[in-house]
Amino acid sequence: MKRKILENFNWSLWWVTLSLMTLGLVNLYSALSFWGEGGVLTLFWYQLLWFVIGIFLMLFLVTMDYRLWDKLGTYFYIFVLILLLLVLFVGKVVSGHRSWLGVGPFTIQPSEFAKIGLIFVLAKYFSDNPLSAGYGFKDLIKPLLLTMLPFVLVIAGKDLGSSLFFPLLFGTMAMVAKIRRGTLIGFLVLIFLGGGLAYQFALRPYQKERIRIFLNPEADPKKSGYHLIQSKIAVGSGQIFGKGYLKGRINKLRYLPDKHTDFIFPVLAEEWGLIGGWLMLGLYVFLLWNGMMIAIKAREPFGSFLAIGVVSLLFWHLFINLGGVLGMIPLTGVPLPFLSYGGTSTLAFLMGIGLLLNIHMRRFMF
Amino acid sequence: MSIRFQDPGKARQTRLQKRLRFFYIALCLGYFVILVRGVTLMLQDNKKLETIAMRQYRAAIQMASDRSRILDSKGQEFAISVPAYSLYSDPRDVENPSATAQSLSNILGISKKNLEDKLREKRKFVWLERRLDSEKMEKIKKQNLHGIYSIKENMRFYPHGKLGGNVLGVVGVDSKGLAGVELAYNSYLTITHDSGIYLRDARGQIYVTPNAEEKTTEAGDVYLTLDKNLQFFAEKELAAAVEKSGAKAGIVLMMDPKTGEILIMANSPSLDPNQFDRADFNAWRNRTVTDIYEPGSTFKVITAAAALESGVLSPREKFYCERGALQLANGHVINDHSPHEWLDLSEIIKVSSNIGIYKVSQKLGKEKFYATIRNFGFGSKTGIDFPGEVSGLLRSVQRWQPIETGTISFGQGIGVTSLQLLSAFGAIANKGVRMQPHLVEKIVGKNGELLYQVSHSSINQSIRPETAIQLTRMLQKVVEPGGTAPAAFIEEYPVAGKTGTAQKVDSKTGRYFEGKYVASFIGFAPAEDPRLVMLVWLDEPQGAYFGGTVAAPVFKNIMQKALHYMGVPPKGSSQEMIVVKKDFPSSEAVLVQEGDQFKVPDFHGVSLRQALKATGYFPVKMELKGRGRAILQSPEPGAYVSAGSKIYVEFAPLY
Repeated sequence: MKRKILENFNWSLWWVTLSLMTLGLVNLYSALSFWGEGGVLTLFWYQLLWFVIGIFLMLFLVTMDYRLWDKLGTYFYIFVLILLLLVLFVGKVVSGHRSWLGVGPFTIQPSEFAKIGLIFVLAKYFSDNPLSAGYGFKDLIKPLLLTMLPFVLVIAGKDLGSSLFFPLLFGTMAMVAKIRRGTLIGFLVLIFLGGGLAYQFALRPYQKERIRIFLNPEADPKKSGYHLIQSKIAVGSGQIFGKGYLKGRINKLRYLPDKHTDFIFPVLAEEWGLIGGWLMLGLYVFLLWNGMMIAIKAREPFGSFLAIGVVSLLFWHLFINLGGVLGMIPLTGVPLPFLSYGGTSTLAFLMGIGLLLNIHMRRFMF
Repeated sequence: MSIRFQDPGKARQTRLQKRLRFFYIALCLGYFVILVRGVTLMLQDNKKLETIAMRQYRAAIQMASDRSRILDSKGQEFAISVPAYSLYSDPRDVENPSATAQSLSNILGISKKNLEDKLREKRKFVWLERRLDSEKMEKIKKQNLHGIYSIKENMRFYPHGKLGGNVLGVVGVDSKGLAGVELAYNSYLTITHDSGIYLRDARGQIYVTPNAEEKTTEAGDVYLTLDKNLQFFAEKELAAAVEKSGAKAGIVLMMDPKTGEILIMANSPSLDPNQFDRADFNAWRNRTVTDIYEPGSTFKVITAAAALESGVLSPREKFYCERGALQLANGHVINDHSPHEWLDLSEIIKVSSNIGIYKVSQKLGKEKFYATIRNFGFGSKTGIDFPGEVSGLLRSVQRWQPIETGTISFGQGIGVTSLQLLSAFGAIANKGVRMQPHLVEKIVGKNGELLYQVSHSSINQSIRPETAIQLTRMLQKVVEPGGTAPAAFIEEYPVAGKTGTAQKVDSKTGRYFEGKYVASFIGFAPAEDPRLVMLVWLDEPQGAYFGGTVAAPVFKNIMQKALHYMGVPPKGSSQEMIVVKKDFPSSEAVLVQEGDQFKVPDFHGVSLRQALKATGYFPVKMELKGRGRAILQSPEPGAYVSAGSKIYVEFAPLY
């Protein structure tokens, strides 16, 4: 039995994840060093530590049958909700969001785990309630509530970027589970109305600013549009072959803001050019493709939904981060999986990969 | 198999898989959009974005790059590079512009308003003051002002001030050679090539050190052919002569006729390259190569050379000199200073008879005359390694007026530079071989490697050696009693030379100025084996204006001194005397390291040059005063000094 499991281990997913992590570390080192100075390399060692912890967590998830999450997922979800509540009261405020919890010397961001928690409960809901004709509005109330709980808690911590993932994950998984056409249209109308109202009343001035910047970044290059313009300059000036490792001027001369987290891609693109950018994007495509294949080949709906949840988590991170730094969608401050520095997000992504590996391994088992 | 037996769970899974494939395609599309965006960003807008990127991270500060030294032929420093601090501000960091400007104003001596305006500028970088001395810099550092920073720059410094200033030239604030040797050898003197572009980060901080784009070129110390001591003496004599005669300007040029090495190139007024921005623009140029004048009587020597060279007359042939006035067919009258009757060529030169040389030229004919003029290099640049040289004014022979052969024979109607004239006389001194004049002897790289070494080359054989010897004999008579320049006579060394007193031409009217003259003397010594050829030129001397009275004494003083200095044996002396003179105790006059201390040697009787070498590579400074042989020293011989201390030695000439 064990041997069979090992034989079914998805080595390509394993290697692509490891490659991305290595690339991530190499690039992070550059992002953290300044021109002619040492830079803040402590964060590099932290990230390495997170990777090691993450790999252990991943391997642990591989050994544990994913079907156990059918039950455990709910507890995990509840546990995360409690953490989110805790954050609101005793959390640390970093760059305007109250979304970190201090654990010993480290801080963790429960919202990252909440995404995984939501994937568990949504996968359970959709697999437990099959509706071949598609889900109507009534059928979706329960999963919607499950989504709104972490969403509201994260919004309350003022972390708009992370909060977006909950409706996105819900939407993606519900689409895969099939929504009735009328319901879908209804949702879209609601989103537009809600969005408009939110912009008018709920969003904070800086958030509105970000949307305005996105629409016209060149309007005030020194202030609001600065980040976006610097990012575009970095990516664009990288050209085909890049400026060479550790030679990215925009990054090294500190023109890029948050270059080790949100703006990690411009660092890579500036130094490695189109070639390096494509290599990285190619690895992501391969990763997502592997994830999709796992979802498609999964033995039963829970596995498929779980896999699709993880894939969409990765996809939306990629899309929002890259779309943001490339000036296609408003900037929201979302980490790029395996490349951006970040403890909790790294753990969450590796947990997701662990789940995918597990689903793949057990695809033939009954 | 029929539908009845289908497992409902399995069927659901199949449907899900179909939907998943759709979803996968949607996901790929989303991803593809990002990919395309990345590609377009990297490929299309490149030029524009790269420019924007460069503009922000490259700080276009015109910062001085380091320059290597300029030395004289003996390795004495003419131009060096010294560190200096330049003060700049990042106005965004300045907390209180008014107070900051006030405290800076007190130290820098710049008006407060000026500084405050700069500190209020909406920029990341603004220069406040370039090249401060370390004392002021220290004071400013102590103030601990926010937003005020400094960069270490290199500053050109000429330790001897005006000495050789017009030759050395000028270096601009951005460390680029603007004139003179600094310009001509700029590429060798510039140590860092790509100056002015530094990296600047988002906070305006300048990164000076690790600039990957910095290119280094082959740079090295430039050794001139000039001799600092001779140059110094010549400039002193020239300045005194200019002062005494009330001349507007003056030139002294000296060359080794055998090699073409320029040993002296003195200008008056002269330029102090340390303060070139304050100098009168008139003082900038090196008149020896840029200024054209009518040579006057000195050019008679060229006519004589042409006559001898062509063989149209015998040296003994006499010409009737018309008792001082000759009326030409066109009504013009040629005058002599004093009336003469029958003179041969040698006598014509000796008394400088215009009528005599006119008659010689008429016999010579213009073609042959023109050929010799060209052979001597007139009408073309000498090709000296100095920027801004001009070729003079010499019309081609086909366009000469009938009278021109005559006027040019006594140096009117032709424009020459001092260097051309010197070069021509150098040929006479060097048995007819005209050497390529040059100012730079060699260029030595940082590690002692020879980057450039001049090869002493001849330009041509201007005249036959016999002609040169004949001319030399004639020129010797000039300084004898009865000649035009007995003032240039030197007891120990036979001098051959010629005076010149030319009326100046008004460039506007083309007529001669009344009472405006150029007095000159050019010659070489010792006549039988000339070591030095030299020119003295004074522009518009007041009162006495004859070359023989104004320029010849200057020639004498400098020539005599130079020959002494070079150890040329005087007439009738034996070689031994020189040997004895050179054989002073000297080899022991070096510092000896003993532990951390250095033992001071006995400098007495040691030459300046040897004393300069005494410290070797030890970190001990020598303070030397005077010239000649050492007579005084402090500390006493045998004493010990530590690193960083100074040894003072005073010198006095032996004679």
